[in-house]
Amino acid sequence: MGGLLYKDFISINGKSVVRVLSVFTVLIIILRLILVFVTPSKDWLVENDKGEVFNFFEALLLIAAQMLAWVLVCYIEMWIPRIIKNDEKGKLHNFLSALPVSKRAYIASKYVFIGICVYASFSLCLVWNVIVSAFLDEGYVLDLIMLCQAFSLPLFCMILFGASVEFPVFVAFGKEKGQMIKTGILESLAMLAVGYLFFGDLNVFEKIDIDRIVAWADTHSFALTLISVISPLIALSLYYISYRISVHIYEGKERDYE
Amino acid sequence: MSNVKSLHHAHPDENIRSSRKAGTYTDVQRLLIYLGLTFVTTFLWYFIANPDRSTWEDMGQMRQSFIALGMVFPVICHVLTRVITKEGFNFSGDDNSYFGIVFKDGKWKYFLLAFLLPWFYSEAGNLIELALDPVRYDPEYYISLGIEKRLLFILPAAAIVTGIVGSFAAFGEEGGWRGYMMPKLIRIMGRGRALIVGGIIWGLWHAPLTCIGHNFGTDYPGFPYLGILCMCLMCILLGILLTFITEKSGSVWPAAIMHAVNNAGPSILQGYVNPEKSDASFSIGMISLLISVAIVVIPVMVIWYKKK
Repeated sequence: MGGLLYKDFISINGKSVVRVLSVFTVLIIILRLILVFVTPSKDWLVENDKGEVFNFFEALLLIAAQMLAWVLVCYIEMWIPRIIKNDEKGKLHNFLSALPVSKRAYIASKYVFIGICVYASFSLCLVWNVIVSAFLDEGYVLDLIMLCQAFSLPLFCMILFGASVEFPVFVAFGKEKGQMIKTGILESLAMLAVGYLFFGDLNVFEKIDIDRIVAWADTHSFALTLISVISPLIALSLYYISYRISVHIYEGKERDYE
Repeated sequence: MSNVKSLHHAHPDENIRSSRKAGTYTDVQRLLIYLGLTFVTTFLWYFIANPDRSTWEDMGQMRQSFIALGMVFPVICHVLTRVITKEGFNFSGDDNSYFGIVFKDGKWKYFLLAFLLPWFYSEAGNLIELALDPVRYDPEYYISLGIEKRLLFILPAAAIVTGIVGSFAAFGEEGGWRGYMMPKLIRIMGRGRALIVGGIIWGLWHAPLTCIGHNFGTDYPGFPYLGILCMCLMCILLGILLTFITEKSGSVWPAAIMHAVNNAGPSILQGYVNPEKSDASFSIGMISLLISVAIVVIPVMVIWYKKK
């Protein structure tokens, strides 16, 4: 299993990813500490609609950390076809059939690998949030960070949900057809969204406002905690069911060496 | 990921052979390098992360979390020590790093134990506290903690989920203490002494935090020395449980989960126990916590030594 995981790590160019993320983490610590020791000038201070004054650079640091978290989420989504494609390209299936590795273990390695990526990325995002918010006083930016933190777990659970759908499709149809199906579904959703923007009721968007979401989160701590407890349980259950389906499909393709 | 040998039964000759095989470092030298690196880097972090020397109570929750990032240094130093001493990163055998996960041969049971044990002794601790000092019972204390009543009842589940998903920080500690220090200590001085010495080292590593009021606050007689002593006691008892779970499961992950769930405070009763209602806040709290952990530790020790 360790070897299969390392193979996938190499196929996503893991060492470079680790290097980039480490550099970003160190950079964010340095910037955070600089902002502690430098007294903000008047130009750095901005005011929101409620009249709360906050440091623009602190908000910028938060946005940078959140943007990178989203990039990381999208990246992991892209790694799923890549680790399948790498095996097809390298004719790994022929090689695997000569090794004492069962098909179940092969499929399990894919699921475990993405699971580890999701866990590591989520942990890293928590660390970034902690660093960014370390020296903040109560106020607007801290509220935003708490909001981001509350929604980060359900966000990362979405990757597991996506992987639960993608893996069986890629195992059943291969990388090429699987990618076509995925693109087809995503494009259909995009077309639906564009259609809604043309013909739907746009007044709905007027009600969506970051301050309202912060206020909602303040008054609905029970709902948020419940979402945080339930979302990983649902995502992991689906992930396990998806693994069993993928094993069933993969074992049906060819007879196992056992 | 593969079968794992027990931490402690290696013959002294085997230790010498493995030391020679891996380079010129003995177990004692490796341990000293590890401890030196861990103490210097973590203490340096506590110094940088708390530039204005605030007490734990005075700083906000996010600042506390920032300082608590020092928890990741033991595992970083574990990796560094292995690189410096050319020990390699085995997932099984004598110099096992214990980073792998094994579910086979009933080892999944220790993961389950890791989720539930902290909940059990946290509730037991609060019950003992109420029995020793009934005046602390406050039916509406959870309101002053800012917790909704219905939220209070899903707190253990939330703590367990938080423990699993946020176990990276606890992994930082356990990956170092249970993954490197304890196996080395057990090989050097045997399990009994290693559990006590390991607990004291772990407790002393917390000393900078205890000195700013983490765990016990700053308002108690004998501050901070009594706090450091209590922390060492607490670490000896918890260390026994965590080492037992690591040894039996062949992985530091159950210990990391248990540590994280423990830190998340998975107790419903905590919403009803108001320490401010009593004068003997520190002593009663500490005694009840020690008793509750000891209740769990004693059966563990019996099982351990019976099997031996």
